Amino acid sequence: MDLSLLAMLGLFAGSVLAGVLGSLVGLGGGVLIVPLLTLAFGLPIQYAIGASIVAVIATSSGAAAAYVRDHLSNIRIGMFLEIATTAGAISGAFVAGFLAPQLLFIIFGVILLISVAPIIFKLGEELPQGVHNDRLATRLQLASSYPDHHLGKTVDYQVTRTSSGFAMMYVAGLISGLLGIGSGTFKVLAMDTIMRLPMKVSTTTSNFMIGVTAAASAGIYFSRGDILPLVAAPVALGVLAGAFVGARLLTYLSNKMLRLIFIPVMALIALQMILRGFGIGL
Amino acid sequence: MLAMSFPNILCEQYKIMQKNTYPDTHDLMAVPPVMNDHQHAEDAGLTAVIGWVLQVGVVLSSVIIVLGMGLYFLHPAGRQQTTLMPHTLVQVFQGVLLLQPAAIIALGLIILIATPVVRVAISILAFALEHNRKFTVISTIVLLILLLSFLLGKGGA
Repeated sequence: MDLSLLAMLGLFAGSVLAGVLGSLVGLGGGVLIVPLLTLAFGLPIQYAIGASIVAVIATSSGAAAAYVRDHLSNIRIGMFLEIATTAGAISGAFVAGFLAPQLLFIIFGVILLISVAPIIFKLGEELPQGVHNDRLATRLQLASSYPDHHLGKTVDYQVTRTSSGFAMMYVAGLISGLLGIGSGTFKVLAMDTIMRLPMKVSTTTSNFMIGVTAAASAGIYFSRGDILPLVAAPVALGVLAGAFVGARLLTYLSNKMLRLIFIPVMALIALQMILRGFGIGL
Repeated sequence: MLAMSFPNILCEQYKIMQKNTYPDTHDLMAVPPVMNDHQHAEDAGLTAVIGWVLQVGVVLSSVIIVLGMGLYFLHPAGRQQTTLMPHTLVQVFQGVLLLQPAAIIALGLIILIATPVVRVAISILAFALEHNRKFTVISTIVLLILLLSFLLGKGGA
């Protein structure tokens, strides 16, 4: 395929937006890349997904460089939970052949749509209150603190229900392995609603983790030829620029505002999954 | 030779970073920082190394991608060859030697894709240097699962 300079610039601009949004909510921006490529550029869905995998990795690495240095991402929580997500992804890919993906897309899409409700109830919460370390969190020293520019102080936080969060991460990995999609939403949900981390820590730690899970499958997409260099190039560069901006923007946002941005994106992903279940690739 | 000297390079880089993080102290490798409630002090070297790995990967890949795109738009002869999309490592390296724009972009994309994996590998060394046995094991498990998924040719998104 031959893309003009103008088309590439358009793709770059859309990717910048995806990078900003993806780095803020910790989902990688694939949600925007896929409909952008299929609807606006008429690209077959497999190539759109190939490019969105690259976008997820670019957002993750681009923003995490800043998030890690700013002590927003919790590296220990991220590394520990990555065991669950990568193991889940492998087992998901194994059983994928035996299950009908259409039905799975609809089931998980509906689950995700329902999960919007508890987040809406948490809208007024700036920081989780009364959270105490469980035994596993204490043993792994997961509790930490992060500097909050919006609140103008360093926020100490503890981690609860670590094993439930770990189990949920396995499910998140399973879903991504089964369906070949990013599972940042389920990762943020696990950290925000189960382990009760501050929203900023949840999205930035998810952002830190998604690159690893996406890299595992990117190799397969690449060897299948689903990653078109000339499509992926403007996407990668745009997303990197967007992630750079998003990572700086996040420190000044409140946790409430971040959750407010997260909800419509999450609903959009749920809708996208349900539509894909009905054979509509967006 | 390169493989042998790599851990030493990392070790040196690590020392420099720890010194930068704590300008008042010296030789932190010999005396590990005191453990406290929040692990910022003990993880400072780790965050610096991980941040550095991610930044190098991102900058290196974007420079190569920009070079490839520049070549694509400036060199009309090279554009003809882009109909052939390289999708094996051998094809990519052969294409890079022939200065094919698509192959150069693909090389940049491969570096981008490899960055998170390298990050996990470096974490193992960094945790080991901090004498954090639990997390050295945890990072090793993550890397093994990742390598397993590459070998099996399967894995999630």
